Amino acid sequence: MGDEIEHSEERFNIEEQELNSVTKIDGMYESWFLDYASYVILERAVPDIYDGLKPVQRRILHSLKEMDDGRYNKVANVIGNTMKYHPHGDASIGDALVNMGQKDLLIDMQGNWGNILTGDRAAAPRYIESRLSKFALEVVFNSKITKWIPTYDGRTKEPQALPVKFPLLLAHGVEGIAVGLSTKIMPHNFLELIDASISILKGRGMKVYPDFLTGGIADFSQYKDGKRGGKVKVRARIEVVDSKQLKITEIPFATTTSSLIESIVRANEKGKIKIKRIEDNTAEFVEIVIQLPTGVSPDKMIDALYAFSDCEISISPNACIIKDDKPYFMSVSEILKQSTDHTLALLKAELEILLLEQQALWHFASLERIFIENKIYRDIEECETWDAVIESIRLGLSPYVSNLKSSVSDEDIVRLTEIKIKRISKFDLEKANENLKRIDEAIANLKDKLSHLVDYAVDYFKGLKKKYKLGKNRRTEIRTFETIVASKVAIRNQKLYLNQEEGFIGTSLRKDEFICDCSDIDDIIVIRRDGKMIVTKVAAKNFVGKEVIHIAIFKKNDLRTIYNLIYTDGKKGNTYMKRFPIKSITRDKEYDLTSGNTGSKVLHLSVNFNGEAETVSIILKSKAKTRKLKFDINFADLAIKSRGVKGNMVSKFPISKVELKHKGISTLDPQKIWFDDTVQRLNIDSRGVLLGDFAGEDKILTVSQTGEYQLLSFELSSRFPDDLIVIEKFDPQKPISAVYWDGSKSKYFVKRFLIEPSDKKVLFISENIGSYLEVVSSDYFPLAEIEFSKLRNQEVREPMKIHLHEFISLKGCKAQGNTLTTHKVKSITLLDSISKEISHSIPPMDLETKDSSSESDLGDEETPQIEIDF
Amino acid sequence: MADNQYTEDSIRSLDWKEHIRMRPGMYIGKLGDGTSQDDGIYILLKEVVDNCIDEYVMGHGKNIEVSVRGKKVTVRDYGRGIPLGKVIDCVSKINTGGKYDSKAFKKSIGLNGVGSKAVNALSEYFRVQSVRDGKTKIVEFHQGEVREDEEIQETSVRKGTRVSFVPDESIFHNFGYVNEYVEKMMWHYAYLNTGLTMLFNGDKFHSDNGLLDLLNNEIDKNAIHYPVIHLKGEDIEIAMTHTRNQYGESYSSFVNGQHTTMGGTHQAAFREAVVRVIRDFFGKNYDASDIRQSINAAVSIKVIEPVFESQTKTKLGSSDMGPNMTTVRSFVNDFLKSKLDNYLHKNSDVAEAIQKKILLAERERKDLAGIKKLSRERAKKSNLHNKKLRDCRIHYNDVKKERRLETTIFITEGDSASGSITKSRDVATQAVFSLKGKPLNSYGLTKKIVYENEEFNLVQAALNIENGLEDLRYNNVVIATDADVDGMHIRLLLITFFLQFFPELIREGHLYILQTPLFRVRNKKKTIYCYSEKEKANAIMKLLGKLEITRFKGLGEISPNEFKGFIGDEIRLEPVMIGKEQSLAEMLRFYMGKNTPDRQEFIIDNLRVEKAVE
Repeated sequence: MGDEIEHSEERFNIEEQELNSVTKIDGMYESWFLDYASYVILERAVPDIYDGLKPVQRRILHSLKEMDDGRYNKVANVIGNTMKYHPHGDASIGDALVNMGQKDLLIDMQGNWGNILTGDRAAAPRYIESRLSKFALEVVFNSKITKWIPTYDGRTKEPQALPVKFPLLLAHGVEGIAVGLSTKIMPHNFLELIDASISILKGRGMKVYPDFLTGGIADFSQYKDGKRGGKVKVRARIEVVDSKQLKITEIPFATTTSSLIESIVRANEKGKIKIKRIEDNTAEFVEIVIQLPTGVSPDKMIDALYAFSDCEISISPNACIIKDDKPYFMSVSEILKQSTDHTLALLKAELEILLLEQQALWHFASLERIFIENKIYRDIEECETWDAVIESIRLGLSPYVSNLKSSVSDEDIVRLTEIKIKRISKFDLEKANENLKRIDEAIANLKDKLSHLVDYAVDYFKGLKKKYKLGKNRRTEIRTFETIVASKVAIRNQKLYLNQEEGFIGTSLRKDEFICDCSDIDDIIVIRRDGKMIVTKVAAKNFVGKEVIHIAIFKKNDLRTIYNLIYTDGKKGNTYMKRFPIKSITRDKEYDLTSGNTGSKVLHLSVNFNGEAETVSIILKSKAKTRKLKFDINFADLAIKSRGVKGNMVSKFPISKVELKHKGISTLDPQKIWFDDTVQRLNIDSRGVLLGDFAGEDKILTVSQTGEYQLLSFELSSRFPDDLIVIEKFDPQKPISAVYWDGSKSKYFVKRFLIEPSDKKVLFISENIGSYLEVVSSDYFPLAEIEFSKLRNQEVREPMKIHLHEFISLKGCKAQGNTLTTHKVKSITLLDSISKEISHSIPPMDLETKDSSSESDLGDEETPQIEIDF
Repeated sequence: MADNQYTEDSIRSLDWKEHIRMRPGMYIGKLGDGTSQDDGIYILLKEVVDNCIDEYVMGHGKNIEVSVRGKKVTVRDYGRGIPLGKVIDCVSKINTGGKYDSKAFKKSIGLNGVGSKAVNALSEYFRVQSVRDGKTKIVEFHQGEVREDEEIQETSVRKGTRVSFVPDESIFHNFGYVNEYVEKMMWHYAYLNTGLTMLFNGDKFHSDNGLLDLLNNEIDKNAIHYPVIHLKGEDIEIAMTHTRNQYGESYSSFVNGQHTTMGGTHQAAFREAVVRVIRDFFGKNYDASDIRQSINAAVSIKVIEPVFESQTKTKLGSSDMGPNMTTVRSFVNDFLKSKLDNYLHKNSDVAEAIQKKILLAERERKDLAGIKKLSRERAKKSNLHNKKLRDCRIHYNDVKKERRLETTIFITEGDSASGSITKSRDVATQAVFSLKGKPLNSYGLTKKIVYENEEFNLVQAALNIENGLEDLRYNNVVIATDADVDGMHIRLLLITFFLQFFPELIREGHLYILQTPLFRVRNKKKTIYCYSEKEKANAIMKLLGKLEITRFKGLGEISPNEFKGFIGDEIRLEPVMIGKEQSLAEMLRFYMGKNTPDRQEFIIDNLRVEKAVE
């Protein structure tokens, strides 16, 4: 301030101080937001990497430990006690406790703790009881190696983190939504985590995949080790009971039977699927029964359930943890590695504390022995002051203390003076030495463990596994899922209409011509008289142009549907013919099936779903200056080419009419079909095992471990049970050979039979309880080897090889068969058959060979070539 | 009290300074401690500066220097200086001044001759020095009493007046000037007196373009819908624009340099005239509320001998421009009728922008129409009884009530504090509105939510701000949440609500945060609540012995009788204030919008780890 008036004479002097400056709104936002976000991240939603617990969980466990006396405690009391540490509402603590209990690892539960399968809630906290499980007591606590911090009200202390010697976080899994970030770690299998930890300790690594208490089937191919950006698909396990019933026996993670049923009902209401009834028969195990209306394929229905309901859910893992007051995003493997390292450190700390304790014991036991053995206590009789007592004992001990590991402190001496006379008088040197020896051994043992810490840790983990493995087997099956194309499984609940006059198609044009049923995700192909083609999505109303000559639901990548076309090029041009499939197209774009010249016109179009080729008669206009006004054309003579070709010329002359003379048969190769056992589905994309060429009525034979066979059509949507032993193209001539155990006759039987064509599952072993299928083969000449058990007082019988086809002749499927042996069998194994290569040349035994011509065999016709345009 | 007789002896007439000190409210509005911009200490400063401004207006002295150091204020102008023989009279004799006859002074505000006397009476130290003709005179006062009366002396310093004062702590308890408020005052002086340079604590405040500068500085650049319209005439100056994404109307109005925060006849005239001119220009009968939606304007007029509705001069009451002159209404109206209309004709792009904005507002209003009906029904009910509100007796819009500036509404978080505040409040001026749980995050929502969400609707009804701030019922809107993290979150949510839909409430300085204690230090006999680490340390020193120190979590832990201390005379409020160069839209998007990688990174990089107490 450029003031020229002097200040010096002012008598009022106040300390110079800065003016109050106010925090502006952005500063407030920043500050409050960070306070809130930090708290929610660090103190509420995200678990600590070391003990794997969110604060509320840690405080509950600490409370349970504090209250632990071996008896159950009312949950309400546990909640109350936890409030000493957790400054939040009781409901949130109660929910967290129930949630932890339901994970069935750390907490023994008494009373109704709710049901994770049905979503039923737990009874009120005043009813249900809890205590720590044996596992929790062994693995989670050790106050000696716990770091304690003051509680929020400063009245007592609580653990900063619990010394959890186990990858608890990965076993439990966690989900937390904080501010600005969230975390989602899925639960993993107890035994696999231990194995993986052991493997890490041994310097190897091992991948672990989630395992859910609700079971189900999961595809972890995009798990990305649990990191952000990964994806897991989990499906319910759905069984086909019969053609009218499906049964869900396991549900996906994070669903309940109620929520699952709700989602199915919703899909039904939306018209995506069609079911008759659904009921929840869940008791100890999940059982949701779905009744299907007639005419719905159960296999397709399963796919539809996966596509349109929560029977398949997608979970995005996002492993975020707090490490030393900071959130980190890391992979599950990294979490496991750090947890294992931390367990190792905790085990070491425990051993070191034990060692110190033993060393202290040894120190004092040695002192005591010296003190009594050498009657040093007598020295103090003369002493008059306390200091003198101490001094004289120290002096008395001094000749003997050179062997001690640590120096003699005043406290040691004070403790010596407190030894009772009784103990001195009854002192047993031998016993004292024995005791010292025991301590020595304990010390040596601890030191040994410390120097082989990793081995000790491995043993520790193995011990855990041995003790607690019961009921901890993997529940979720790991599998790769095939993609379900929604449009293929959606039910057609809409009706498509065509208005020829105005050139519209759509589901809302109810007054117009009905075309077909469709679903709202279908695509429709439309071909017009002028040779223009367009593919468009089903809509309420859509303009496609007038003179529609073909309209149908379009199947993408369908190479077996062949369009046979005859058209005139331009107004007065030549006439051409062509055969082509329509593979991939851009929606709502017009394509020309002719050469595109104005005035072109389609004279004949047929759409053949299996590449059939018809014969047509061409009738020329009488004006044509040619002798032959009518001639026939067989489309079978024409090669299948791409959609864009011009085609072969039919005639230069104007054509009056094209008439269908007669329909033809397919000119396509039979379909090659593969079976992919990773997804248990058929495919035409060369994945898995080639089953063979299929056409017409060809069937697939499956034989399952249950002793049943079934013939299935080669539809790609067919589903197969998991326990298949045989899956191959069905050949009615090929016998099945089987050895089975009859439960009631307690004998092995051998039988051979031919499959009787039927769509049902057929049981071919005994119905008696305890019966099971031992081996089965579809080879012509199967060879089995039998090993016998050693019986008392007898030599073991030599193993025996049996050619089953020599052992018994073909009989009916229901026949019992012949007894295999009277001796006690140890094992039966199928040996490599000698017959594979020659099987085709040899007719089956005992039967006349029939002529093996099939419908797909088109004799000496040329194999048509398919060209595909992209 | 038996001998308290009513006799001739008991009748006395108050000395001028006694009167001021007994009834300060009559002279300077309310007292306060400086956290609020209408607190008395700012009026003191203003009274002193106003005299300097009058000198400037008369053409004397282009600089005015102000310094506030701690509690001491110094103001220096380079005007003509008070005639040396009358220095004492001028600052200590009521109805004494030199402005009564001069024509120019008729359009000043300091003309009632009370200003500097009130400052003098309310200061524990008041020193005035006048310099003219190479001579100077210095007088010092204490609570209006002369303490030092120096002889006139020769001097070589430049002419002018220098006033220093220290407000009396026994009247302004624990006061402190807030930098931002003083700066704002300085800016207003600069905007209204182009060419004048205000120096405040070394910083220059200078404006060449008056109200144009005001709007440009106060509105976020990105929020301006079209370049500010700036019109000047004799005794009138206006600036206006419309803003984007901002609801409500926002005005800064001035009379003779006095900031009329409550508006008055001139502001009403402006609102009316704008509507009329725009309707005529477009030849369409647009709804007035659509025309004024999101308007942001500044209006300054000069009136001879203005009349205000209250002593603090925050609302103009004059209906005429001066004795025997045209009305304020037609003056403003005529001015806009010619100037604004001409402007719109000359700047068709601006006209187009305005029309667009009007149509947008119209669409939004019609959108809301259905829901407003529902809300009106609700409003009827809440007029009868607003179930979330425990009201007080006096309201801010009761212009005649003396204590209207004290009116306060506490918006509390659930059951934590509403019970205690209700019990311990002063029912004359303090109302309580209790929220249930966390309010909705209103970021990105349209104004519909104010009607759809019952809680928001009731807040709007309680404050009475559906149609702007004119009838706001409480001068202070105080958010009273716990000092814990959830309380912080609720503050964010509430301020977001106000910023989105009622930004003028914040811009005009009505919104505050109740500061609540962070620690409780207690021994068996005494409990001290502390607002900061420093206070905690002091408390520990004071109490000694075995202490229990608690990090304070919720207002629910405070008993009603203790609460009295937190909302009574010693109430601590933190004003919510919008800074100058920030984009509010950007800020809201970042903190209240969707999760973004940026935000995640920001949180992780700035994580606040609360370490255990002790």
